[in-house]
Amino acid sequence: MVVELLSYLFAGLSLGSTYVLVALGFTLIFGVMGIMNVAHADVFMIAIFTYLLITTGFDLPTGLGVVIAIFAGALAGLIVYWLVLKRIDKGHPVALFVSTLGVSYVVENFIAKRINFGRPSLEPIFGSDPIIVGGVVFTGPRLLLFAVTAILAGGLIFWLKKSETGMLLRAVSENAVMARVVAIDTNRVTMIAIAVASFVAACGGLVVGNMTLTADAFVANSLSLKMFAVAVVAGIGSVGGATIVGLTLGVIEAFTVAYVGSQWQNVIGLVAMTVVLLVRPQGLFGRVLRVG
Amino acid sequence: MLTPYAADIFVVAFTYALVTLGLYLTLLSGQFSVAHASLMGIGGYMGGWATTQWGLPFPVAIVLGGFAGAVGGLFIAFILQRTSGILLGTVTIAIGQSFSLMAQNWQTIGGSQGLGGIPLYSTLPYATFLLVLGLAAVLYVQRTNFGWQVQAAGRDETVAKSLGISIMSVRYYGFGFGGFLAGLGGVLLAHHNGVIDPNNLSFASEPLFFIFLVLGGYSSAWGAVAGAVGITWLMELLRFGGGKFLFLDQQDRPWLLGLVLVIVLIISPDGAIRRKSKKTQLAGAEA
Repeated sequence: MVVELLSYLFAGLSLGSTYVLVALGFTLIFGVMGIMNVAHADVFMIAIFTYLLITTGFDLPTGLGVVIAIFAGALAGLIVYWLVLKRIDKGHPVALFVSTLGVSYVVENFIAKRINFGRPSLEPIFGSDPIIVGGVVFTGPRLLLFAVTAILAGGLIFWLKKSETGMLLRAVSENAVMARVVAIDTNRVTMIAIAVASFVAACGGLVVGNMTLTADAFVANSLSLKMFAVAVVAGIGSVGGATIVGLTLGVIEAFTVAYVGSQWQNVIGLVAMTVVLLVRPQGLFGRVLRVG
Repeated sequence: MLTPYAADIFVVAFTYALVTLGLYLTLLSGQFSVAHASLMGIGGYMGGWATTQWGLPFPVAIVLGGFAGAVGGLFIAFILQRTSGILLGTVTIAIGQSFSLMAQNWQTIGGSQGLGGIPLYSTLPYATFLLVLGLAAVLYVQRTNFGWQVQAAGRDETVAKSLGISIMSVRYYGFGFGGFLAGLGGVLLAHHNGVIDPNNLSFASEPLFFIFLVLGGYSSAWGAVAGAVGITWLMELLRFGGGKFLFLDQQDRPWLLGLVLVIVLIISPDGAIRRKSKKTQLAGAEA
């Protein structure tokens, strides 16, 4: 019984870690730019496909594939910012939002077409024989996912709190107008935020891809649902909140699948989001107001 | 007159036009919705269920599908009553996606296979009739006092509120009426394809309607219809000659269209065709 509960708990935590790794960047970008970047979940997918291209396509070593994939993911986020987000008038939030929607549509369909709408399999980055501790099975890829999530989420929270750049970033997300008044280069800060957010999502893509071992061009469609749910329930802009909520959502979902039925798995995020929006629209950990 | 092939494309175009009109209406009321593909899907499932399982006549199914879309829209408006702007838009994506995932896991309505065996009742007269009716209704309501209130609330919620306009009733109207039109489109689509499946509801089919709307121009109901009909035909015409052009083929159309959408938004965030009315000129002068 305990063993069973623990295995569901770990399954849930690994599901939750996936949500956390995408939601962190999404909420960070929203904080700094005040826009909902729908295309953010696609960075996750771009990293997986870059890795696929390098390792299977060019037959290069996996280590190189990992490095290039992470770099490509971070670059992809920045390219979208330079080419699209920066060029659209900030006075048109709907246009900005629809453009991120458009970007994700372009990227997904372009990549899907290149692989003829298939689902190629990936070479594992890191695998090991399962380790069994007291009946609970741990697999290498899952432990890697936990480790990466812990390092990235912890590192991000610490970086935002303690480093100078982190403080600048928080200043911009608290009040972009005032930040500009005190001569903070908001453009530079935005770029840093996007690079960091995309880096986190790219790492997420790789460690999750290492577990599923398949590359799906439309993975962002279901992933973005969880990304929004986590960010909204936590309160948009709250990085620590997104970590807690993401892990909790994953665990609740795993237990639901185990004890209630898999068809209800995707309903939980929606229900949580509905209740939070009705009772506390700013989210559990959210601030009330954002200026600029 | 029209060849069966052309009539068929017009049915599809008019179906899309109805959904785009619904999206236009919701956006006009100041509510940013990205769930119209789902509302369309709900209407399609309802209509398909009505004709296949309940054996109801097609016109009744159309009305039922429309109401199902409206109920879906009202549900979204109810959930989001304390949210607004872009956050609202994002949440509508999540809600739409949840509808799709629920349909996928609900075996009674066909699960991921979708609801099949729907009789092919959607003919050009039906599609034309519904589109004309929908367009006329939208144009009529816009000229009534309530229609002006909706547009006022869409432009500035705070000012509208200060004038005593109920924002909630505007929202229910935007999502309810918009959902109704999308639902009608869904019934037509289901009875055109003979099947409706969870992919029709999903977020992946949503950008299509934004492409229609943005290229047609957000600023009028005619633009929404023109965009949907024009682009559907354009996509069809690109099929001729084997659909091959340089290294591109038919399956390259989605991302090319998306690219056009993004480029148009960068150049002109208000949509490709802007209708300059007195009001927009005044709004421009203020800014």
